Amino acid sequence: MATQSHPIHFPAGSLGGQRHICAFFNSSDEEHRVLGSFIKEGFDKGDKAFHLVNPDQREDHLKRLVASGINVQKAMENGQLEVRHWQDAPLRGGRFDQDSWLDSFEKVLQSGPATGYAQTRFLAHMEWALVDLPGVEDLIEFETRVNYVVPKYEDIVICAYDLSKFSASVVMDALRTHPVVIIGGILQENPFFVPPDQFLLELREQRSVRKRAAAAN
Amino acid sequence: MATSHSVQFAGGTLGRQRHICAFFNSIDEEHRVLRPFFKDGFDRGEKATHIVDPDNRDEHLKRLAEAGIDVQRAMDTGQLELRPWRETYLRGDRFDQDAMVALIEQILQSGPPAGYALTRLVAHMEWALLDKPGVDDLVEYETRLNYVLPKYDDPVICTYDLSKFGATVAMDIMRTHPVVIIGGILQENPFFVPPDQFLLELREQRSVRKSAATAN
Repeated sequence: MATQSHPIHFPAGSLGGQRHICAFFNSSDEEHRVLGSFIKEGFDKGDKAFHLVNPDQREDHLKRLVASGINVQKAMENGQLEVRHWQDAPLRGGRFDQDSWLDSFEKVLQSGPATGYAQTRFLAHMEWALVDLPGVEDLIEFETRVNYVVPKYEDIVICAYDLSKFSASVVMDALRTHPVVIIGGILQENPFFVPPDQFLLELREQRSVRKRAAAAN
Repeated sequence: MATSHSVQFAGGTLGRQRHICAFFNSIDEEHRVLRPFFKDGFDRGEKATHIVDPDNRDEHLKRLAEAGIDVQRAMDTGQLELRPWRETYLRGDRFDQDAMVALIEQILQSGPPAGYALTRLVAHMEWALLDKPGVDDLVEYETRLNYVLPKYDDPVICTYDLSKFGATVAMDIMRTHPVVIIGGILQENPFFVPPDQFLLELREQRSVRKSAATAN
């Protein structure tokens, strides 16, 4: 993978205004090799960093931030770095409620300017959707709806998917719901992106097909 | 090429790159998306070689018939050739990537002498999920096909059932095909990695795994 893992940079305007990104990785090593400089640049520029992590990986995640030269202790104390656990965010209340998390997610983006940060770099580890809790099957509907929210803000939102944990079906739908994608360490505008209006329609159709099939059996 | 052997389907037109992977969630979706690709080929007198899961053979033929193809006649004349996995990918009860690259090339070369200007090759790839020696070489095989297929005009579609594969394999498959069908839409693939580079990456992955295994 090393040949592909050039650090990702986000030169101004390079994404055509599209900043809802999904990143597919095979390991934490790869994730930090690819995103390390993106995260570091954010700290250097004085951007806010909001990281949504698996509590089991919190220590490892912070250790890797330190290794990339970030003063984690200081950044957490002054609020520049906010590390939120899944159960305090999308899985609050022991379930995934996409409406309430979409709302909270937007508030996170709005809180940046209010606290003096011009931009927030939002990084979410998405394996919470594999935890056996009610509502997690709404992941893809949530992801497509995020496309109504992110374009209203200047912030960069990266949804990181561990390929070794997800099925091909979910990952292909994740691919189709993000206008920008990182695969093999390369960031690209995504020609497979489906705008949310159209994707929601498709989800509705899938559901009614399944319902008819179930009724027929 | 685009003029004489133009191939249009799934909302796109094929360019020079004709090694395509197609991701589907069901056989319904597969036939809905590929129907014009099948039908146009038969109507234009082109060869169709389909490498299918033996368990899906009857279903596959039924769907071709529903698309308005005279399957019996096409098979009698040789225009449609169905090849099971055990005589192609799994010859000798194992997957031999060298032998298979050679066989694909042989299939494409046999078109013109038999009077077919173009061969439309479609292969169901779920044989790679069977417990047979060599199936781990799937991704290396797919990238190596990129050395061979550009020599021909023939479109080659590798179909992957998303409900059966893991995400890691699916992403590597995506990175080894210059053209991809996802959600029923055909696109040139910006994530495609040329074979020289991909083979290097595979070698590095292997040496990382080997050194990790030695360290344990």
